[in-house]
Amino acid sequence: MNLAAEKKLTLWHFWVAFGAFALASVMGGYQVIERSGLFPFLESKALYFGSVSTHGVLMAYVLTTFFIMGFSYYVASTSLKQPVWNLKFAWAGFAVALIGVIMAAIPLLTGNASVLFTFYPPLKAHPLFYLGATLLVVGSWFWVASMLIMAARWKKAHPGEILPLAMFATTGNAILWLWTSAGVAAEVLFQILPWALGWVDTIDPGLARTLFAWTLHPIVYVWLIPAYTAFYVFVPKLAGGYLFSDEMARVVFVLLVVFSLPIGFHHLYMDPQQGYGWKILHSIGTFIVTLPTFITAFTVIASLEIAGRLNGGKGLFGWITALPWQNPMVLAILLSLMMLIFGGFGGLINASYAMNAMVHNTAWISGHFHLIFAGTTVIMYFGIAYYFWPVLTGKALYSNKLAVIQLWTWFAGISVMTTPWHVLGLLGQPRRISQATYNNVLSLSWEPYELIMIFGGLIMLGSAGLLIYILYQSQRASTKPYDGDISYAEPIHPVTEMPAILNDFKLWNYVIAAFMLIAFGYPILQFFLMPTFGSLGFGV
Amino acid sequence: METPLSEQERAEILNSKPVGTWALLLVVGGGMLVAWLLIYFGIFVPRGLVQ
Amino acid sequence: MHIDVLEKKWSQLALGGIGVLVLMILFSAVFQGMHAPSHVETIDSAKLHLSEEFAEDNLGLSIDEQGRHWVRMVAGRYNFFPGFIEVPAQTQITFRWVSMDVLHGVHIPMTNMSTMIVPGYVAEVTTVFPHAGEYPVLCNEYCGMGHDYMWSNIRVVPKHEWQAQHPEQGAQS
Repeated sequence: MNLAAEKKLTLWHFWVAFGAFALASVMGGYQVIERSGLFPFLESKALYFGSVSTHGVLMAYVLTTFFIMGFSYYVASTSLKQPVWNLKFAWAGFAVALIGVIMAAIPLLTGNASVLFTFYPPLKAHPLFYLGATLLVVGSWFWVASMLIMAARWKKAHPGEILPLAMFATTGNAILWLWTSAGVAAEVLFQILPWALGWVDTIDPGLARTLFAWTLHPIVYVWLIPAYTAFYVFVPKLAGGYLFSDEMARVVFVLLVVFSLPIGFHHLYMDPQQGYGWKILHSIGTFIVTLPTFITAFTVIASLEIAGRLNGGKGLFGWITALPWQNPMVLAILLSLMMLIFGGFGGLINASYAMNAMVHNTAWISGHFHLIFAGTTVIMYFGIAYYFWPVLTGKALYSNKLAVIQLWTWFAGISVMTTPWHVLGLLGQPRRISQATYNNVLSLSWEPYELIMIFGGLIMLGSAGLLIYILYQSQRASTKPYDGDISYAEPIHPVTEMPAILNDFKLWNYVIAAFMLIAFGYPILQFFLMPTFGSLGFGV
Repeated sequence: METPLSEQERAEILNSKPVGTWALLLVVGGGMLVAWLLIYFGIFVPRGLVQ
Repeated sequence: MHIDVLEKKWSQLALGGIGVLVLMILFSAVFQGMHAPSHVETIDSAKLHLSEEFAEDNLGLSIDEQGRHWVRMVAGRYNFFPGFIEVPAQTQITFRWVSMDVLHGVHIPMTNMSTMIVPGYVAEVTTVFPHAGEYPVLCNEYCGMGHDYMWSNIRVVPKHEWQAQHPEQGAQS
């Protein structure tokens, strides 16, 4: 099957994703240096908060959306062994999303959208920012349609057969994104745009925060699922082994899609506009969604254990050193799992209802999401990039050795930057500040940690530069041709049967609908039943 | 370089129980539980009742 | 469906461990009253100066007839008003926070006094300060260019010293 068109589609998505990553990394480097207080000429509130807003949008919305779309198109066509459905449609989605990014970039880069990536009203940005963000999401819905249509057509052509695991996960992620984006779409379409465009005078920030919270948790699972997909379908084979359990992988993806949605109030624990009964309900759901990650740890590490033993590893832990640490994807997962232990633990603390008061909106939160996202998730994006680039370009990777160094330095940088960040949170440092001096004795105790963080940030900046260098050289330099393709791990025990609930999301959509009605129904309805007072717009 | 595995050795490994994984995760999981308890009772609760 | 014995045991252990944490949280909520601040009450943030409760001369600490300690604070770019308050240690204090403009958040480091302050809503949180001292009161949600500078002060007075200074309150807790 000639996949030239699919490779081009995926490669263009990856260029936008990593281009955004490169720009945002420079901004991250600037931010960490500015905060040191060592260079007064760098200090500018407008520049800092414009940078943080742009850095957040690029990393959390652009890198992710484009990477996930590109990755998914190639996984869909190779796992189903059929071309991407309607390439023009896929390219149209790419174009709409990219136009949205450019539209939003204009106010962001000119200081007219310094509202951070969460854009909580009543701080108001230029309407072009919100319109651009809307187009980015609409463009991603083209991708969602494409995944659902490809899966449905395959099933029709292969009645009674088991949908390949990689596509099961990818379809699940598309469905998850559709449900997830509904919250922020409602907030932007029904509240923010009419208010930003001047059609209505006031906005209810309580309802806006509730709708954003609908999106804010499951979106991180939309980012994470491609990393988990790589864990299950690529790593075992690259490590020299097999997938420990195909069925448990499917159970994990179902649990992630279903339970990541009705739990957004753990982002609103400290908010006054929701009652404690609902918060407790969401906290229970939040603890439940940790289970698929605990199961993933077992399935994936067991797959690695088998691979290590097949490679000669002996004893209880000898298989660990017997793994191919020089393979970038295998190294990426080993580093990713190490960061998942600490990032995941931080998540357990955040989820713990009243205990959230200890960490809410402190530096702990910033440390947490950099560890779990920039660490665990994005390092897998790097591993996937190293694996896919030769396949997509037909040229061998520029340097395997540099890729290994890049992954280790990313891990080192993340560790050095996020560890003190967590400690600063427990010492009471707030988040979203451009300088950390409060003319108070307590803030003096923060200084040593700030200085350590700067080293971590600079290591990360160097590592990011190395990544871009490797990918750029692999793309442009004439190196050995490469004509392999990605290949999918096989399960140890071949699967011959699969219950419908692990082959299809039809039933699960009804379960999600019921859960969302229970978890968000009244909490949203209450805003229409009680008299509320709206807010006018405020500049920054 | 070690001698390659025999068919039988391969089959044994593929059907073996992942005891290393089990041990590793018990330690990690247990560590998380202990760390949560230390933070809850050692940092959060001493900062005062809250509602 | 075939599940490896150790994987099944691990799944059950993980579920059990999570269950223990959930039960502890529920227990502390139901029997010890440990909650996230969740008092749903609306207010017109544009008209605070016209409200009786948050008029300027009613802000800060007040003690009602039942001896309950209330602190009413207004958050607005870029300060918390009143900028300096004193409260007794080891005493239940109920804070009521409102915003006069945008979204703010507030926490007092090394304590559990933490809440979002959402315009249009009164944020009520009750807590106890176990240790006396001078603490900063910090804004922790981005509220504009002056967010870095938005903070006030609170002095938590040792209980015996407070009772000596305020003999008219009698033995309160």
